[in-house]
Amino acid sequence: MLGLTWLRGIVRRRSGRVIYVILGVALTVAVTASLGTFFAASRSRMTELASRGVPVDWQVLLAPGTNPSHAERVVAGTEGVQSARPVGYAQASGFRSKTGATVQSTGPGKVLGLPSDYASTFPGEIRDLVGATHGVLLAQQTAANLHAVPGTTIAIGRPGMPAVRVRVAGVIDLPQADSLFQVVGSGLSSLIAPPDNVALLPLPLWHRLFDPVARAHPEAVRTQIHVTLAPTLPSDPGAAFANVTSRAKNLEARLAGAGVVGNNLAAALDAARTDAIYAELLFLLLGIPAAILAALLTAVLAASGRERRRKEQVLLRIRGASTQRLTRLAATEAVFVGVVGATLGLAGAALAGRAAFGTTRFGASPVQSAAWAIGSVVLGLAVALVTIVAPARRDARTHAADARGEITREPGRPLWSRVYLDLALLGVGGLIFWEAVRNGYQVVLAPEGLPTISVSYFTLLAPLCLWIGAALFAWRVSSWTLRKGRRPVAKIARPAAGGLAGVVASSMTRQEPMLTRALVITALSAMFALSTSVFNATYAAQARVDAELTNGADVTASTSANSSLPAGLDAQVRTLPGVAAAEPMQHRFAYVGNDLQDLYGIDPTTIGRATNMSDAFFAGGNAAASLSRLQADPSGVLVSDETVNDFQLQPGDLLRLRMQSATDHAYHVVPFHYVGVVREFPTAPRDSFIVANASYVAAKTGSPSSQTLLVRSSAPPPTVAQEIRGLLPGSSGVTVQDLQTQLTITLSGLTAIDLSGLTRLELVYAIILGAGATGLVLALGLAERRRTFAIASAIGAKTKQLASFVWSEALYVTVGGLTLGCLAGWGLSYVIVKILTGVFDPPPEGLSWPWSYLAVAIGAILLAVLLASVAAIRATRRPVIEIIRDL
Amino acid sequence: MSDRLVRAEDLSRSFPAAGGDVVAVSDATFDISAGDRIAIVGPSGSGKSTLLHLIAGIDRPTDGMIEWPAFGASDVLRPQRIRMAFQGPSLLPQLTVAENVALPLLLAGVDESDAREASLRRLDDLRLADVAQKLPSELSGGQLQRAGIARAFVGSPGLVLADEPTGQQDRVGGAAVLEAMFAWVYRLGASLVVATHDAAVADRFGRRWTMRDGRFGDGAA
Repeated sequence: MLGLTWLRGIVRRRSGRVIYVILGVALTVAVTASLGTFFAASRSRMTELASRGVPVDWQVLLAPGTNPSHAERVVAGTEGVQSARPVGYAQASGFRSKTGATVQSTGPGKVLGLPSDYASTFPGEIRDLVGATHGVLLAQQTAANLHAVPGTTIAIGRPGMPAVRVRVAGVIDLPQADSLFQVVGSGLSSLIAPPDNVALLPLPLWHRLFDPVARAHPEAVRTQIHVTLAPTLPSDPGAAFANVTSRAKNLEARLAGAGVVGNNLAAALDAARTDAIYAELLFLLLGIPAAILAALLTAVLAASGRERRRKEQVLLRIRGASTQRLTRLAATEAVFVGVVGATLGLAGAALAGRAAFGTTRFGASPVQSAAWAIGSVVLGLAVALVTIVAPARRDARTHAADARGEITREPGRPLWSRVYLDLALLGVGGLIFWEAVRNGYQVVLAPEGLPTISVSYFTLLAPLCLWIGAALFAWRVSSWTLRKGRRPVAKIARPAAGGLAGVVASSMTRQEPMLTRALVITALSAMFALSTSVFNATYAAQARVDAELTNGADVTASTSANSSLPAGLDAQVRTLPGVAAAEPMQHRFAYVGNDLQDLYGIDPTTIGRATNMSDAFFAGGNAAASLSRLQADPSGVLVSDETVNDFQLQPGDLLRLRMQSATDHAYHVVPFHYVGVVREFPTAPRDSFIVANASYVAAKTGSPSSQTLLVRSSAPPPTVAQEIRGLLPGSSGVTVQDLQTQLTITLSGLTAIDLSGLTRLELVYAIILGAGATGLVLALGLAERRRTFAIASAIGAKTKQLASFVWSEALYVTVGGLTLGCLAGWGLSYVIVKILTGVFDPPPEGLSWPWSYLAVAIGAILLAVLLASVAAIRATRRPVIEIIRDL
Repeated sequence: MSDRLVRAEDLSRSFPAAGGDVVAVSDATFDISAGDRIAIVGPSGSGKSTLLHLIAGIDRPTDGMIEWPAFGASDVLRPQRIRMAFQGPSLLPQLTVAENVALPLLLAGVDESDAREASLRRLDDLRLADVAQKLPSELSGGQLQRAGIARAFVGSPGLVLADEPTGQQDRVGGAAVLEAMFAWVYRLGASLVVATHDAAVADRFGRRWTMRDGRFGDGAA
């Protein structure tokens, strides 16, 4: 009964204090629920994306002599198998075609036999380019090598048997060639370079042509069963990986040696579970600090009413209330604040979730949603209890005479300060980080094929130590400044306080705990906002670099390697509005030994106009120097590290490549000279490739044609792309891609964790926390001193003079907090980006600074300070008689 | 400068309350002139403190008129010439005793060292020199009250108002405070109005206003 009366009184008379603490609890709950929800949802999304990107989940390689029909029945009867189809794999000794007077021939290749419904059963495995979608289909590169088009008759060489002639029905692309031609049975990393030449035949025709080969040379012909699984995987990528792996092993056991499983889905989930671990680390490094900061803010807000609460407790004690009764009253207040705050927080999280992710659910499943909701409410209650009941109980135990709640001279330095815990933590954090970076470690190690993932949680101690160390150090600096530096503080206050600077400085030094608390909260907010936004900006920048690399430039027009862009397209494009530069680039193929590699012919002096030539693309880290070396030697080539190692190349060495001539369509040796190493290049694949001078390639192959046009735009890339499409006839076969569209693909891809939702939330919360922390703490600190201002006013202080107290404190808290917070945030950003290097693709060369966001965040903090200060100053203008009457 | 410092006619002040307005001061008409020594006496709740607040200009009447002919026509707070020593502790908790006493001068733009010197002189008069550098939280109730009185007399006020200035002093201490106050007003040429329920204190004053239920009784101006 007394509890309810007490609660009613508090809500009526101390509504401000109650509302602020409720808001703090709500913010803590909202941050936790939102971020937790995001990570719970992102895990299931990763699993979904991983499985969606795999057209063939399993490739079951049958042992020679196995009855394919029986094996297919066993596979199809396996639990969870949705569809199973047999696929024939045969070696071809070569392909040959005759166009006009010339004969084109290729090296060895593969011939696959596919059932008629293969393309519809495994969508994504085959991409139709030209001609029919059924019948004899040639891979794009093979068609280019043979100069074959639909209708061309080609000869397929069979090992030990006469070649057979077939008519080409269409040309296709095999986007998943790496997995399609993997060596099944030698582990998850059994991906090898796909064959240079591939033909797909209808399964009956394949059997007719290659069954005889199988009898004579069984090693040249194999059968696989391709499988799709029902989409009922556990939402966690790690659990899904374990599930799929164990099912594959179970199938192998049931096949009893008749087949081994190439587990494409497990391979994709293997990568996803690493991403999931990174998501967990991001939650630890970016999400938890936000929740802790919100909880700290709540504690500070609750502490701002402590003096008043202590006085109320003294009155109750005088009237006979026991410590237990006082604690119960505080608990009543805490439960009320906790429940209301948690409810508001959940509502806020639902709204934030709707804005950021388009859902108001707190998890991927109802159970997960309930768990997060309950967990968040429990957290809200815990924060309320800890911040209200614990101090109230401590105060209730002190004697009434000690509870005057007034400012005392220099409270003792806390233990952590006396033992220099802050400096120790900064040192330890720095050491752990240095040790980790020095050894070039990976925070997440996921050995392929093994169900366990090794995470170096120890390394996470570095940012943790730096977080806590920086906060305590900010505390030490502020505390020391205010305790020891009345003169410097007076100097800081002089612009705002004028002639009252001395007395304002004295006042500030005696309010050291309150001002230090506000400064540290401001510093923590700035640190959080800075580290989150810099991480986000760096991630976005790297995603852009990745997209640029994939797309080649802002806008790219490209055609296949065996055709060419329409003549004069580059000149036409340059005249379009919104086009800053357009540079053509050759895309050819060249044999390096037996290895067919992509070759890019460029003009080293002009390529940089249309696309960024990053230093990171070239060994030695100097793009200008590498391109200059290429330009200096017309026959120069830049090759990959792998090629340099394979051929033990030294600068200047002769490299004899075989390239197709435009005159006779045959491959001829073209001499090049090795001048440097290229690691990445616009539009180039991730494995080996070559960059050469376009003029030299044109002279040696007899064709100056370009296959790619790189365009730098000064207008939105999609608009420019649309304009370029307008220049092309419908049958040109030229594809026009823009960076913005590519960026969407890159960011939603599995290799890059989709951070957009997380960062949107984090950045918004960072601003709310920053502005809320600084503004509310300052406002409450000032509100608690209404009596002080009333007295000062009664003894002659004008509003302007009272304002000088307010502005001086605001200046100290804001400038000090932001300076220390930004310095610490910069260091923390560097550490987080380095630790989570695995998230970035490619790894960043440096930090990216989101200046506009930081300007908004700092602006929000300054605005909050301004509002709090103005409100406090306006409050001093109101009649103070209510306070004076109590004097 | 006019000899009349304060003039009030039919001055009333009431406060809203749950059961209807509470009248603290009702229809008070009076003058305060230079050199006046006035004691306002009456039981607790008779309106003494409210009347002092109205005279000090830190509260506004709900009815009637009050003006300060010697200190200007405006009815805004004029704390540099009219000072108030409050009944309860009224020092700023974050400033030392010396800083608190010097504060009115600092707010008036007096140089910091001059203000500090003046403050120390007043504190010395009230035997508070040894606590000058202490914080209010380190002082007893009596010391706090004396420090508040010292602050009211620092500089050159024309009128000092004191609410129960001896309320927290023992007999000897109260007498000493009273002596100091009379000495200061004499030296400064200031007027002094105190609210007290101590008849012995009131006897030391030339004029006495008796209040009951917000109204002046016998002896009123």
